[in-house]
Amino acid sequence: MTHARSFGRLVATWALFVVLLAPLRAALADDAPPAIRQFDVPTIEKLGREMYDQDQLAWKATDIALAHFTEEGLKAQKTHGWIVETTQAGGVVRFVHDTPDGPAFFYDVTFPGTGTPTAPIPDNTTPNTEERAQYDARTLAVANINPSCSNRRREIHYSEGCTLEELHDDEKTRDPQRRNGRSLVDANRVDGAA
Amino acid sequence: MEEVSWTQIVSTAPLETAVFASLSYKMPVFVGTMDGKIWKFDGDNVVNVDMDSPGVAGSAARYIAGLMEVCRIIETKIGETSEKYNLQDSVDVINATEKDASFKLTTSAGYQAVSVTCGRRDFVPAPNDYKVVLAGYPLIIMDTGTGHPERIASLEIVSGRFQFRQFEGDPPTDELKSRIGARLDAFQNIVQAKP
Repeated sequence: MTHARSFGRLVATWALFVVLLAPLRAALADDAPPAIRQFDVPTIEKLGREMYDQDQLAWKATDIALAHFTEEGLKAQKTHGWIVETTQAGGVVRFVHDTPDGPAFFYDVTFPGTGTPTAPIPDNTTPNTEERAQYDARTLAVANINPSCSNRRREIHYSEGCTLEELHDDEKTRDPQRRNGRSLVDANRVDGAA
Repeated sequence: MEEVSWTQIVSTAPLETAVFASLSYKMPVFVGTMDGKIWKFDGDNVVNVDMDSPGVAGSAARYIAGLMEVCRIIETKIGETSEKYNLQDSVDVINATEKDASFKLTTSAGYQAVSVTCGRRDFVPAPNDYKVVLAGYPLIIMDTGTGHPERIASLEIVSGRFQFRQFEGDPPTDELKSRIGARLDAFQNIVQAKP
């Protein structure tokens, strides 16, 4: 059954609601972030796919590097991240460490289109301009993001946050097939599963 | 089928990070933006969905819209001659009406509800809002969507017909008129189909 309500009464209750909602509106306005770059949907789809492909290469390469150097060995190398370069055939993950002359590559994991990845010690260890820009962008992002992206996790950094992948303490759990305990930490994420 | 949903405040455009998340989780991701739109990310395929979409997409869209609404009960003391309005705690409308066949309110002792008022990211009534009106309460909707003009209207039944009476803000666009009209027709059909 519907209660008959006068229009005036509705307006009165609406007015009350408007007053009550005003602080919420103000808060939303204050919290409105600065605009970020806008891409069309096909570009968003392409960027997300590239991010995923690079992440796949990065975690596989990390496992290979850990198997080769051990975690302590990577620390001793003063490992300071990596960059991923993709090609049509596959890609290469280039691990970076600190040297007195600045960042330098010390281990490349190359993924051919088919077959087993190779992991040579690179001949040319000096980043070129583009590689240095990639490295600097990552370093800048790491220095300015939420500390929830800890050293115990691998991250992909981008303007809105970072993705985390747990690095397990147990060597056995480094099996790539079990490395699906991944979580996304996104600065804009406010809720969980439906 | 599993899916993940969240709301996004940094942009009203879809983001590549959600594509990445969908590919990584290997499941669809639904993201609500502050302009009231709902985006479905199925791997690297990004599309708009809405509360009327069939299946999981519609269910996720209603769930997200429910997360983004802010609804309150406005009540008045029973028997008071000069009515004073009291604002009660927040109440879920979209998610409550999704689950339950009818809408029920609990008011403070000695008070009666006058209306339910909601700030929402989309001005068009949600698919189950008719349950609020059938329960006897006008539903006032205030559009709080990012980039939307301020509009306020009341969903009521007058002389047996649903109406959505706007009493503040810019006149609805043709697109809004069309969606509101379709929604009112759907409500009317539901009521008339009831025995």
